[in-house]
Amino acid sequence: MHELSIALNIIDLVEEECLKAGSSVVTEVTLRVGTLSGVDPVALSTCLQVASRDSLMKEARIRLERKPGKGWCRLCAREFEMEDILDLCPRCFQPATELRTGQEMQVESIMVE
Amino acid sequence: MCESCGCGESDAPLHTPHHHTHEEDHKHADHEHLPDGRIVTIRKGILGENNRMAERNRGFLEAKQSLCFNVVGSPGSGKTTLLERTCMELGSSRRFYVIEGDQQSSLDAERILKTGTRAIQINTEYGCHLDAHMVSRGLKELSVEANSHIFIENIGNLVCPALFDLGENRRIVVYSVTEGNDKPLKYPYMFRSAHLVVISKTDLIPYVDFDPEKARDDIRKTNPELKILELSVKTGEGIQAWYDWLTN
Repeated sequence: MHELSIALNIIDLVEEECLKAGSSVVTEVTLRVGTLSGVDPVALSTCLQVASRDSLMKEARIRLERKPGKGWCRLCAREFEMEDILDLCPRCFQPATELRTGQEMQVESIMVE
Repeated sequence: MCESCGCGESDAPLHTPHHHTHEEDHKHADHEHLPDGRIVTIRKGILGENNRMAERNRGFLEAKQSLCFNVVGSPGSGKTTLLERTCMELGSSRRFYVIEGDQQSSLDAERILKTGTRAIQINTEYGCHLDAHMVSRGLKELSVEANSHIFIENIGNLVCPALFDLGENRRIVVYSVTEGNDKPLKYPYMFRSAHLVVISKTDLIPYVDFDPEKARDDIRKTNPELKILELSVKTGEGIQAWYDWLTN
């Protein structure tokens, strides 16, 4: 259940940025999580709810932006959209030789009082 | 702090222009004033802290001209047994270190120590994976010398360790034939992230439902460029190819 470690990392990062911005209350957190990142959004939301209870973001709304992935097919020398890590190239039906995007996990922004 | 609106700090990151006007030219976090607060742009990786430490570990090992291997796989896949035999057979001619990760106990480190190889045990207690900070502490404690091979045996788990860079040079999945054929497609992130898959316990193929050809096909569906070795630590079949991969 790595979503708990990820939630704890998010809380640390958000608290640090909130204090830097001169506030002690976070009202909203926007996360960007790629569809190929290996993170389950439902598990992450649950972990954030539980783990943020005593943090500066305990009242915050969580906005999760899912970023679609792109893979590279060396055979066809082209990029293709990937919703799932096992998606195949739609032309030659071979797996991606490289993942180009979709593995991102970042805190985009926070809203503070 | 921004004197016009009272928000921000001077050292906060600047990414995009302000959404409101300030008379003076000053620096503070990008923000937008809305009824229930102001938005501060962050755009920082969630695992940034771990990834920075992983890069430091890699830099430390590079300076020592050493190679580090992150060995992952299910509980019982044969990770420790493979390392035990490797340390026994190559340990006298190469400098090896092993960092053992488990939730509890020092059983694995004790097995490695018996081969005469330096080893330490990290217990994560409630954690399901090692992280780069734990490995950094482990490397310091081992006082790694130059020209070494360092093996990190991760927690037995095919999910969580996939996401955490430890600073290794190569990631190895140990996948035993007793686990059945479905593991690569059930846990594609782990296989995708590896450089090598060692199919272990091949001496048991006659007794279990495991099709090696299908296993190789499915592993390559997660990553067509993955290197695959098949071996039995018990009989020694295929073990030389592993030693060759390790030392070349």
